[in-house]
Amino acid sequence: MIVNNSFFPIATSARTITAMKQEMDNLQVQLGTGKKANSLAQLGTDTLNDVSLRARLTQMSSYQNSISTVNLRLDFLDNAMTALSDTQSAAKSSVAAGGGVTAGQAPSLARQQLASVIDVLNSDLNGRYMFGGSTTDQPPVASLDVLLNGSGGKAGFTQVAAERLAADKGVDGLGRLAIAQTGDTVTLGEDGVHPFGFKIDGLADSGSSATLTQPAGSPPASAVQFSGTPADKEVFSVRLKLPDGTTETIELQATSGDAGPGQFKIGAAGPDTAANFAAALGNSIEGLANTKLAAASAYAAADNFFNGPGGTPMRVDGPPFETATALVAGTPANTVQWYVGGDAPSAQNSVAARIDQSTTVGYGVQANETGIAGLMKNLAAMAISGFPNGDADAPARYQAMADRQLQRLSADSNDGTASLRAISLRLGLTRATVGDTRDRLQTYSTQMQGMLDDIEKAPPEEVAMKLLALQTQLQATFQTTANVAQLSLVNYLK
Amino acid sequence: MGLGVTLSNALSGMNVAQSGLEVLSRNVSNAGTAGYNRESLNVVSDLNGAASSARVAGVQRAFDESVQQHYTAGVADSGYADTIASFLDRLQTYLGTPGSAGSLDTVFGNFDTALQTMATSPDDPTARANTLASAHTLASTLNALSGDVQGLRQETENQIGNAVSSLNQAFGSLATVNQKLATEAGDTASKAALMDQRDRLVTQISQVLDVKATYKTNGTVSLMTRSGVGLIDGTTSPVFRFDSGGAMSPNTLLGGATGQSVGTLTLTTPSGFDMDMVGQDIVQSGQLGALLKLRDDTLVQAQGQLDAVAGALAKSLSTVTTQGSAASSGAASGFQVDLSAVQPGDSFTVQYSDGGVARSVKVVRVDDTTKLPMDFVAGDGQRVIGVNFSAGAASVAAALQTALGPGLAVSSPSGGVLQVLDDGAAGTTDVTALLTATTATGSQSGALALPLFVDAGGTPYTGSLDGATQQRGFAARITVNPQIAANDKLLVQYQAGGSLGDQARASFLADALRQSGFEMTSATAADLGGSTMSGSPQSMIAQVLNFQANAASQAKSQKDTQQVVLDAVSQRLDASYGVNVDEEMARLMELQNAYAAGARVISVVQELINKLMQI
Repeated sequence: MIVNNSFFPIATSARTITAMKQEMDNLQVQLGTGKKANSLAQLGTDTLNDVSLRARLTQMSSYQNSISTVNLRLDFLDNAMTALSDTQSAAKSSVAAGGGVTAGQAPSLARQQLASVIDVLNSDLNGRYMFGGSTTDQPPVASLDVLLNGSGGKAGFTQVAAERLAADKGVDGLGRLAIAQTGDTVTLGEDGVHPFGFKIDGLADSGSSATLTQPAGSPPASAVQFSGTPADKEVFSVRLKLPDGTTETIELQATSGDAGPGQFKIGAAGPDTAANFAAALGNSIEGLANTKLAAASAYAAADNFFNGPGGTPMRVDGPPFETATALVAGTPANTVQWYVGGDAPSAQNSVAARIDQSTTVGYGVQANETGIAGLMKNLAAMAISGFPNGDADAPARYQAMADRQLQRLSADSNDGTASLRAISLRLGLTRATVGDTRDRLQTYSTQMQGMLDDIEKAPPEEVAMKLLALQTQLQATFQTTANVAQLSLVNYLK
Repeated sequence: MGLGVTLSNALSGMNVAQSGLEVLSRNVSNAGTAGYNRESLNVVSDLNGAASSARVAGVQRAFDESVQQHYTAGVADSGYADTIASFLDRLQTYLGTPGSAGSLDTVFGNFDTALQTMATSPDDPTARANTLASAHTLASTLNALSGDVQGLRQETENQIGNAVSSLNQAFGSLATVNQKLATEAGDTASKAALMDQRDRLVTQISQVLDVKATYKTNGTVSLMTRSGVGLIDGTTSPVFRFDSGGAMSPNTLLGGATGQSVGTLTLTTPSGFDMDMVGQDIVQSGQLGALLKLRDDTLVQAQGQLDAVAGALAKSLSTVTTQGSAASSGAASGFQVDLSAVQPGDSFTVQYSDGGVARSVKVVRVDDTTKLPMDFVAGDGQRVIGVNFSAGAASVAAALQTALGPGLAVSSPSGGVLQVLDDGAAGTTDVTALLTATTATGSQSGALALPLFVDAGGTPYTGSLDGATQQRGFAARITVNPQIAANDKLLVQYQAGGSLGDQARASFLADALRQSGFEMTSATAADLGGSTMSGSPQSMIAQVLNFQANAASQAKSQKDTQQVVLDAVSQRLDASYGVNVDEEMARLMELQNAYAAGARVISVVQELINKLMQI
């Protein structure tokens, strides 16, 4: 500072003092706000770094928000999948031997379990339905009552399954097979080309008394010609395929005595034997149709009704159903659509969240994935079945149903890319990715915050030092200015 | 030698002392008066035979022409730096500190976060409402900033008007002072006062306008601008006239069409010539120079930067990229695209390799023939060609063929379709991709891109280069698409009746905002004085903030520098002209003593004469 005792420099020193006062105010603001720069201009050349860091931090915090949301949803899905898995285990153990559930209790138990599965699938997290893939704004699965009993002219599963049973059994209850006897020959043929009822897989003879014609032609026909006399205890077997893909064998034993169940009496001549054989075959097929075919029919109906990804529900083309020859797609107008959620080729990727600049996680689950649809099918098939006490075939039919349920639920839970276990695994992997990313983002943002603080923060010690220095300087300037002002000759002239 | 001589000598001494006191009292009383130059007395001694008396020869006014010239220049430059700094300081205040509420980067960050949240929860009405609200805030922040910039420009116009009237007044007064100085013989003391007035007027003028002063021997001054235009020489003053351009908008520019032009500044020189002061670049410094630079350059550039940000923002969300389909003819293979959706400002890109070197040509639809031919290499190395699409795809093909040369075959196999094929069997060239970048106009056309931000009246923003360019002033007009504002489900449903849980569009928008890259076209580069910006909208905002922060901090340091220079000159000036009270006090004692001594001589002479009389 220039000290000069003419009047003009006072202006200069006044300007210096003003500047120092401003600097002092500035430092006080810095001390108060803890920030070096309180305007864009003060930030100067650091602006680009500052803005870029802030933008990155904002992005990271938006990713962290996404992660919180995704984690919440994964928790929800986790719980839901556990509930589904529990229901599956319960359904499996209840029908297993010694499960303690009687045929009479099984349907209502299945109905309860189905209701709880639907509850889980239709539950929402803050209004968001989690089992409908990308369609999150409506319950993905029809309610239990609508599903089973239909509504507003739309057929429910009970009706669709009944129609299927009619189509599988045929007019005369022989499972769409026709038995005829001409002389020493018994012919066994299918009554048309269609997916219903029994399909003849093959014939066999433990001896060599008869001439067997294996199924051929369209519709397939087969024949047994008793050209010789069957030996006692010679066994004839007919392999039949059921609508659910299982195979059953009917064995008829030739006997010279009175024929019991599964036996036929050897006649005096070929035509007599053939007549006895045809009658016994008819009885066996009818018995099978009432038990295992009925069970298989229920499962086939469930397979068609509870369509998987990319499919449509199918039902029997009729009426008449007993002579139906084809399946047709059930339209939304005439059939309840059990699943109305999103149907993407990849259920997982139908719901995705970006959790970092280059990381996207898919956590979508669709109720029509095979594991979940399979559980629905089993429970629904059992739920609509009835095993009345008066029905002689009921125990066998229940056993057939129970076997199928046990087998299917075991298979579903163990393999398949979309079994319940696979879905849980998928969600678990997603959770791990999300967790790793969250930790990484946490570390990054701490580092970036540090870098930002280096640019923006005014260390209080430094500011305090500067303030102190400035205060000293200002005091000295005041003192000097005051002294210089006194140093005028005017004051010393008397 | 007699007593009479002694008496008259002493009297002359007392007279001089009295005159000295008069000057001294003027100095002391004006110590601290700005523009007052110290005066001193010229005393000569007359020798008339035996008589030797002192006589006042005149009042001397301290003046140093060289220091004065420096001071005049310093005042002009400091006025310039002061004005620039104060305007830029306000501009940076409007932009806000990064991270503070309402600053451009914060509102953009909020919008970005809202989009990201919506991508995770598209079915959440709150997330959609937040996206819309933050989009509104972002658009209105750009509108407000644009208004602030234009407000500053408006203020420059007002201040130019004020500066012009103060100039006219000062020049009028200076002409009068010049006339008095030239004609009045007057006493030297009053002449000194006139010269003080003259110097004050010159300082006042130089603060507004950069002038060079030439001082004549008779005390008059002549002024000319630093660029060499004579303003006053003698008694005829120049006349400055400012015709205001009215309300400012981004389209109000220097030399614009009628109704869209800024105010004009005319100078009528003393010799009667009319001159356009802006067009002929007469003003280089001073407040007026700063105001003109701000109005026609700096603030226009700031507006351009905001417009570029607004344009990038709108285009990032609304651009639909469509890949061409494969096409071939004999051995030649390539791609074809439908150009029907390409609007002015939209483009398509041909990527090909020529002798193993990958090349890319972007063809922009420019229907305004005054902008053609346009063929330049953008900052990112991409070749950009402007082509007129109004005559159909065939003419586009012909224009592109000319631009690409014979290595590729460009044709239009059917209406609206453009096909680019390689050289077939020769194998020198290979077309690797052909894709269009068009602007989505509807909200539910099946495309994921969404025109969330639109121009005034809901017009889609395509960034057309035709006419004044759609980008100019877009920051002032950008608004949220009223259709979407009325129905936030459009943020998610890219098809009528689509699921609200489908995050496809929301994810696309969130990614597009972060990943789209923009490069200013040449047309904008020129408008921005060579400062081009590129990158995502976010990085453009960072560049704008950085640019303005640096500009403001540089202007402040320039202002401080000029202040220091001016202070130094002022010190010199004070040393040369200023009144030193101590010196004056010492002189006062001297004069007092001289007067007392003179009086003593007279009283001795009186005694002597009395003695003589008593004889």
